[in-house]
Amino acid sequence: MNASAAGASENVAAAPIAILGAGIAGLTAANDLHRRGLPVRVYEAGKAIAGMAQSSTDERGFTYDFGAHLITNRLAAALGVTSNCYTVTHYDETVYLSGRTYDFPFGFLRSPAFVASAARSRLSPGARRSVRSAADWYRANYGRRLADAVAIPLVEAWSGVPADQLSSAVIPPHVDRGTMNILKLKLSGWASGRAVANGFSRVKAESPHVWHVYPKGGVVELCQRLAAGLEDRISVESRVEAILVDGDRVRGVKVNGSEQAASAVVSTAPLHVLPRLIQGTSALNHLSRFRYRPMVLASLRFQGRPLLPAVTTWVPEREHPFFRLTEVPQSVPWLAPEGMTLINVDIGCETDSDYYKMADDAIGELCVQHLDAMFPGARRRYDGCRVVRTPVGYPVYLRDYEAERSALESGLPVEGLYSVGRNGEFAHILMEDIYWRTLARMRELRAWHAARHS
Amino acid sequence: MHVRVDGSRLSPVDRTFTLMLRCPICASDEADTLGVTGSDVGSPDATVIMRCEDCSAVYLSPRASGPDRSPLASVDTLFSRSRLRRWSRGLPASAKILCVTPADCIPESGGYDLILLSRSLESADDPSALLRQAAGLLAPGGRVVVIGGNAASSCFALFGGRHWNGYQFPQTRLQLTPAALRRASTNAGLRIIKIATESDAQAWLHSTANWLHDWDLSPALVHLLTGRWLLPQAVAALLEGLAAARGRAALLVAQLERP
Repeated sequence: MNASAAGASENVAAAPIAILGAGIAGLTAANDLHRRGLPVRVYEAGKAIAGMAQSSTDERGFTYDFGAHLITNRLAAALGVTSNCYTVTHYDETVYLSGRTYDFPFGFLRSPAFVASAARSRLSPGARRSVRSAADWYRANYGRRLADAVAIPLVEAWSGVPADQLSSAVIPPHVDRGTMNILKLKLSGWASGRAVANGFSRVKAESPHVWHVYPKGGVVELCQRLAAGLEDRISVESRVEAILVDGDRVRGVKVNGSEQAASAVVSTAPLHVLPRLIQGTSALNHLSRFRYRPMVLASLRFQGRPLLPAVTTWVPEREHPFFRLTEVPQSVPWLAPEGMTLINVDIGCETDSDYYKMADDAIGELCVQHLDAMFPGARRRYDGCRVVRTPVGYPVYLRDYEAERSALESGLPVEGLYSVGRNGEFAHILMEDIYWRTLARMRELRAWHAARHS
Repeated sequence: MHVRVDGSRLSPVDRTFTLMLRCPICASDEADTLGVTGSDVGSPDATVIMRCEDCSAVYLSPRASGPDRSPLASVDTLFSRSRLRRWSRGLPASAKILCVTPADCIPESGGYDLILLSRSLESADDPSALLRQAAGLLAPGGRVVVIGGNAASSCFALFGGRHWNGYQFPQTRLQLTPAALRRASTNAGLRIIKIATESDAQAWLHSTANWLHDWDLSPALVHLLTGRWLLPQAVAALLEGLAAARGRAALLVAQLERP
């Protein structure tokens, strides 16, 4: 190594770890590394931390969250914010099908056709051996009737591609944890008077002791807690334009036109953006194939409460523009003024589709038209809406790149580059999993950092 | 441009929480979560129960420290006369004995023949340092007896996710297992004479009471199911007897010696 190269290497070793994004993943990473004495610098493109996790409350008292801000008491405890959270006492899900609603999951037992089909599939183990796609998995585990009527249309609306093109990895592991486990959680929720979390974590065990809570002020409060003590290390309005790599090893970032040395980079950017961000290697080019499903998320205001039969109503029939309706005030009443309610509507679509380009009022009208057909009287009670659009709603688990996706578990092929968070990991994970998985990734980073820079 | 994080928006919390970054016994940061617990179970303060994947110690993170750091309840019951007699067997009448409970400060001068640590490691800021300190106070050949809850017990297996009676919040920071205690003893330079479990039927009753209170059962019903009368006592004794037969009783007792 010549003198100048050695000098550059020393600069990189002494440089902070650059963290792209001040959402929950980026701040968890920054908090963990900082507590352990490693220098960090967080770059946030927006004007404030928390980005889309910010909640807003209008003058009438409606609080708009981007997605439901329910977290678990375990995450609240881990961050020491339990006393700033409300305990959620009620959470349930239902499926709307052919004018009827079925409680999820046990309501389907009312349908002999679904039960018989599921029993047939359970008695033919051969079907489970030949699972190649999400469609195969659902048919093998739920029976053809239930899979074709409910599970497959939902996953297709969610992903935007036919279920036989989706990897079975799209099915969260908790779905396969067994009927008895779900029953135990439901019973303990009923007995304890708490909304025991079921299906909200992929990486931590579910238990009667883990239930939903809602942070006062929304998820931004978690971000504030994580950012406490890091004030001087967070740069807002600082868009990272490039990640600089030498010889497949990170050396810095380019921020607002200026190069900054970095000993490592933690990215929360969507994975398919990384090939465009990274300079000096083509090792990540394959990630440009990865797709995210854009979403239109509308919050509709209504008079009266409740309007829906459950907090979350799944809508698999394709004649409707949406696949999920969430009346959060049933769980978290203070998100809407008394006597009113708020329904969050999820519409999966492409960015060049009519839905994505439609004016906010037109989206509201369209949703109300369908809601009124499903739940008569909805139009009369409608009071307006707010709409948010995101081009990166959910990762799409295509079979085409499943091998590359599963290889991500062992990290990226660029030394010193780590990708965390829901978009950064390309994973269907919720708030708590983002926290624990980011901590696990930071353990890897610290071990690498210690080995490299000791 | 730098952002200021507005801490004033956060409601004041009663306690200061410090994240336990590593296992207090072996310093590993590989841990699984067992559940969530809090003061008197159900209060707004809470902490995550972590099990170290390396040494199996169970520790609480974040660690809470509050103004009401009072001594742990029912410490003295662990020092029953029969136990004290057993542990001090063979010592001369002039033997120097020190009992350390969580409320005590450990003295600076040493030369002790026997040091009893009752639930002290569980609430120490640095349990490994406390054990090393105790080792340093022993006369050559002197012994340390450690007694506390057993996080490898049958009772813990059932209640360890939240309602285990050993979680006395906010004082308790740690629950030991035989493996964790072995590791701590070796680190402190102490020779292990014996690590065993001893019966404590009350652990079942107190843990059950914690569970029933947490689920808002009426106090009368809780008393009926867990009170000091024959049926609950007999059931608890039976369960603890079965656990003890499998070496998984609720109390952990270790006799350690300075080489």
